[in-house]
Amino acid sequence: MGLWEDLLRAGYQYAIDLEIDGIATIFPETSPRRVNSSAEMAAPSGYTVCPALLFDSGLVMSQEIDRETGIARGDAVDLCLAWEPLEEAGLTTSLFARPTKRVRLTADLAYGATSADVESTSGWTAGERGYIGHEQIEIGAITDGDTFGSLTRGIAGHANVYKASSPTSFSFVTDKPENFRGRWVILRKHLLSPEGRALDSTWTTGDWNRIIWRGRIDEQPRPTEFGMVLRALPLPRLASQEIGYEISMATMAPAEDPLAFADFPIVAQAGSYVLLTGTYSGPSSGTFSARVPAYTTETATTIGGWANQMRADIETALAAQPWFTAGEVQVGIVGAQLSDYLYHNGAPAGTLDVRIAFTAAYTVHITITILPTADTYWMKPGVFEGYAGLVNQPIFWWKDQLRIQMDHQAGAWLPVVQTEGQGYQDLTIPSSGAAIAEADGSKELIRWDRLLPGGTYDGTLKLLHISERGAGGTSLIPLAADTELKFVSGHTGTVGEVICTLLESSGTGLRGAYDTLAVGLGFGVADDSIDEAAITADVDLNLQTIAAYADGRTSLEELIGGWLAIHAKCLVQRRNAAGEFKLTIVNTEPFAVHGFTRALERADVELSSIGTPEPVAFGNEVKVTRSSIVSDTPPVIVQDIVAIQAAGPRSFEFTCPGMGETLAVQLGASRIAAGLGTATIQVALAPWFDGQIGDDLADKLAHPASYDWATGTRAPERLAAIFAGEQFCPFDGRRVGTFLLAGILREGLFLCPTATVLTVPTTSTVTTDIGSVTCFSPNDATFFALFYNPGNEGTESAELEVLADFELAAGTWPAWVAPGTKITFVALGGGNHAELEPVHIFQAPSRHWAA
Amino acid sequence: MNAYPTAIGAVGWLYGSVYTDGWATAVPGYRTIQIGASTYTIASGAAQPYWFWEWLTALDTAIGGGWGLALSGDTWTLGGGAPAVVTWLDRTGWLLGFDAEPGDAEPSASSLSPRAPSPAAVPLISCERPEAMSRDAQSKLQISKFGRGHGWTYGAADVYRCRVKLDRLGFDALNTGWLLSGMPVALSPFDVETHALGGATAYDGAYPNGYLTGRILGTDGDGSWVGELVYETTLLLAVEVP
Repeated sequence: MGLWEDLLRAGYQYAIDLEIDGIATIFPETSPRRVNSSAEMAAPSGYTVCPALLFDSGLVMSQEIDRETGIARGDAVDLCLAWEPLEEAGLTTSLFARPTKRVRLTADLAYGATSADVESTSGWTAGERGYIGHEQIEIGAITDGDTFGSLTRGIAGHANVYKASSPTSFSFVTDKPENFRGRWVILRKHLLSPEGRALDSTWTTGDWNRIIWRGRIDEQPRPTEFGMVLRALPLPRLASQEIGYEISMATMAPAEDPLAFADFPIVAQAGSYVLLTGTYSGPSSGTFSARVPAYTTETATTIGGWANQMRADIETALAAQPWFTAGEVQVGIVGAQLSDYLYHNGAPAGTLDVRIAFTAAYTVHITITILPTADTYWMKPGVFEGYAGLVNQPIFWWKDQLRIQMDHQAGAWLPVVQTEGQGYQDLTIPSSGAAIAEADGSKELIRWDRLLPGGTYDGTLKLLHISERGAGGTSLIPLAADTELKFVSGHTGTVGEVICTLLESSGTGLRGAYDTLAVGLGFGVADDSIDEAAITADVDLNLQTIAAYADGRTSLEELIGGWLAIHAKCLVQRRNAAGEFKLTIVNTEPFAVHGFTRALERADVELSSIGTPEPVAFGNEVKVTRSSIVSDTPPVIVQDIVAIQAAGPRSFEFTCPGMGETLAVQLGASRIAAGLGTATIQVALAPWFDGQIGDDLADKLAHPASYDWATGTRAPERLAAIFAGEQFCPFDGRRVGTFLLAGILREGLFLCPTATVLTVPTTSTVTTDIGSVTCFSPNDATFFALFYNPGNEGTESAELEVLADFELAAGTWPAWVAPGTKITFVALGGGNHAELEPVHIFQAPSRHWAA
Repeated sequence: MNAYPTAIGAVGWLYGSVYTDGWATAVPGYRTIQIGASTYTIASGAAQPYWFWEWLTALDTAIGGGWGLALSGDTWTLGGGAPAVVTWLDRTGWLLGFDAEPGDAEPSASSLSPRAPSPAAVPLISCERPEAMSRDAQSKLQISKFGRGHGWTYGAADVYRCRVKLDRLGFDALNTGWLLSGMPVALSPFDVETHALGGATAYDGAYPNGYLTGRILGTDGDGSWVGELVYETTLLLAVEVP
C-alpha cells in the first residue's frame, strides 16, 4: 500500500477526467476548487475544460486476463458528455456538428510537413484551427489560394500521415472534427480531499493523479437522452484489430536483351563506382587511380544511365593523364546502341563494354576493380585486366569481362511492379515492409526498409531497398522476372519486439523507438502507453527471434497471442513500478512459490460480497500450431490419451509461429496441467486495495468459500492467487476483483531450472552444462543457488551464494561438489523473491529441467 | 466557552482525522499557516492520519514567533504573540473553523478564535447510545452513498446506528462532508482539550462511556429539523471487529 491508497482510506476521494486524442478540451466530471487556492482546477496549457463527463450507474470498466488468447478482455465503456455543460461551452456546435469549412488535400501530407496543399484556402484565416483525421492543426498562415502554411501539427495529440487520394474524410481539412472512431482516450483520477478539494492545480498534470484506463473510441459519437456518448474499447482489445493490407508485386529482372539491360532500373549512390587503376610508361611514367562514376547522391537511374555517367566521369578523371586521349572513351552495354553509349559486336549480352583510348607512345596497363558491395549489385565483382589494343589502335578494352549480374543482396534495390491490391486510389506498396517470394515450393521472406519511385519509368514501377533476404530463417530463392512477392503483415524480432513494433508503428517514427513500420502496418500507440522495457525484457518471451507474419491483414492477437497464452502470459494495461499506466505483460498462473507481492486481507474486501469459487475449465489436449507464412512446420499436439478416455476430450489451440518442437511440447503439457482444480473467485474490493491485474498475491481472507487443495484445508489462512480481473464502476466507485486460485496439482507440477556441474576446475569455480545463468538470475550479480547431489540431499546439499557464472562469492566448495552435482533454485525463503519471481516459471528451451 | 454562538451546549463530539504527509511526501491542503511574514508548516514524519486533536497539537508545535494554539474545552484560540496578520495559505483555516479560503487573511490581531465549529470536530447536542445492528440487518442495509467507495463495510466490522442531534452550526460543519467521507472518526464524550491532554479513554467493555472509533457509512434515512435550530439524524458507524 502506498500514499495514494492511504489517502483513500483516510477519506480522500477522486474526480475523473477524460482526455481525447486531438481534442483540446479536457472533460472532467466536475470543477472542484483546490486545497491551496479558492480557484477551480485549471485547464492545462493549450486546453479548455468542460465538466461534462457523466458516468451511468450501469457502466463498468473491466479488464480480465484471457488465458486462451493472451490478450486481456474488457468491456466497452460508454463515456457520456452531458448536454448542459457541452452547450454552455459551445461544444455541441464546435465539436459535435457538421463542419462548415471543408477542403480537400491536393497533395499528400507528411507527418512533419508545415504546409498543406489544398483545393482552396477561401474562407480560412490565419491562426485558425482545423482538423484532419484524428489530428488537430493550427493554420499559422494562408500562404496563397491553395496552400496552408506555418502549420502547427498534432495539437493535443499526434501528427499523422495523410494521403490526398484517401477516399474518406481523412483527406479533408475541416473546421470541426469529423472522425472520432479510433481516437485514443485516457481516463484519470485526480485526488480530492475529504471535503472535495483538489490536490492538483491543473487537470491531467500534477502529483496527485493517476491514469486508470486507456482506450480507443470505437464508434462515432452517439447522441442520447443525457448527452453525447463516445463508446470506447480498452486498449488491450486493440490487439484483436486487424492491421496490414493485401498487395502483390512482381519482380523485374533484365531480360537477355541488350536494350532491357540498358533500361534496367537501378539506384546509384556514392559507393556505386568501379575502381580504375593503372600504370603508364613511355615519354613519362607514373600511376593513376580513379573512382567512376562519381555519384554524390542517391540517384534512381538505369544501368545504361550509370554506364553513361561512367563514360563522362572517366573522361574527367583521366583528362590530366599524359597518355590519355580525350573524347574517345566508350562505355556501352553490349548489344545496345543508344545515343551515349555504343554498340559492339562480339561480346555476350549483359556485358559492360569499356574502351579507353591512349596515345600510342605510351605503354599503359589499366585494371577495373568492382567491389563486392551492394552499391554495385548489378555488376559481377572482381578484378579485371583490360586488353591493350594494337599500336595502330591504341585502345584499352574490356570486352567481355565486366558482366552485368544482378545480386539482390541486402542493401540492393529490387524493382517491382504492383500487380494486385490497388483498390480505390490509395493502396500502394508501403515504404517498408516484408513480402514472401515463392518459387519451386520454397518460400523466402524479403524485407525492405525504403522505397523509391522508378524514376522516369512506368509509374507503377517501384524500387525496394532490401534490408534483409532470407528473413525468418527462410532460404534464398532466385528472383527471376515476374517472381510474385506477396506482402505480409508483421515483424521479425523477439516476441516482445514484435509486440512493441506492431503496437507502436504509425508510419511517422514519432511514437517511439519501435515506430519503424510504414503507415497502416501498426496501431500507432505512443510509447507512453507501452511498457517497452518490461515487454522486451520478459525473460520467457525474448530469448528467440521469430518471424511473425501473416498473409495480408492480421492482428497482433493472431500473430503473437498464442505465444503469450501458452507461456501463461497476458497483455494487459496496468501501472508499473514507476507508477506509469501502460500496456504490459503479466503472468496468469498462481504459482504457489511466488514471492507474493502483496496480500489480500480481510480489511481490503467487503466480506459479505465474496463469491463462491468457480472452476476454470482447461484442456487435456493442446494443439500448438507452429507454422507461419514463412514456414510449414507440423503442429505439436500434446494430449493425455488416458485422461481423454476417462473424461472426454477438451481441446485448446495456440498459434505460436516459429516455436520449436521441444518448447511446444513442454508448454503444451504445462497448459494441460494448469487446468487441474484452478478456480476463480470474485470479491468486492475496498477502494484503497492497491492490487492490480496480474499481481500474484496471498489470499489471506480465510473465507469459508475458499479451499486449499494442497493441504485439504477449508478457509485456509493463506492461498496463492493471481489477480485475474477487475470490474470498476466509476459511478459509485465499486470494485470487484476476480482472483484465480491455485489448483489441485500446482506444486507437484512446478518446474524449476537445473544445471549440472561438469567440472570443478578450482576450489571456487565450476563449469556447467548451461552457457548462461540468466534463467537463474537475470539481474543480480550474485544470487543464491541450491547445490545438491541427487539421492544424498540429506548430507550433500547447500544453498550457496554464487556469482553470475556460478563462481562462489566467497570460500571454497564443499567436498561433495563434483561433476554431476545439480544446481537449482533455493527454497523460496532463501532467495531474492523479486528476482526469482519472473524466472520461476519454466518457459525457455535454454533452461534445463531435472527429473 | 465557544467563541461562536451556540444555543445548546454539546454533550459529545464527532471527531475526524487529518492527513498531512506520508511516505516521505507532503500532502497539501491542511498543514500551513502564515503569521505575519512567517510561514509555518506541520512537520513531516508523524504517524498518519492525525486525529483532529493530534493535528491541533502538531499545528501548535509548528507555529513559532510566540504564537500558538491554546486549547480550552471544546475550542481553541490562535494567538499568544505580537499582533499580526494571519494568512491562510491552504485550507488549514477552514479546518480550524475560520471558514476561510486559501489566500484570505485575518485582520491583524494577537488572538483569533474560530467562527464556527471545525468540520473535523462537530459538536453533538444529543447523542444516544449507539445501537448495534443485527448481522442480518447489516446485510440488507440500504444507505445513502455519500461518496465513491464509501457506504460499504470493508473488513470485519459491526455497524452501529447512532441517533444524534446537532445545532445549526454543527449541522453546517457535518454537512461539509469531512466526517462523512469514510475517514476514521471518533464518537466521543470528551472535548478536544481532554483528548489532546491524553485524558480521553476509548470504549471497551470495562469502560462503556469511552469514545468509539470507526467510519461513518452514511445516514439511516433522511434527517429532519426539530424546529429551526436542531437537526436530528441517525449515523451509521462501522466499527472494526478485532
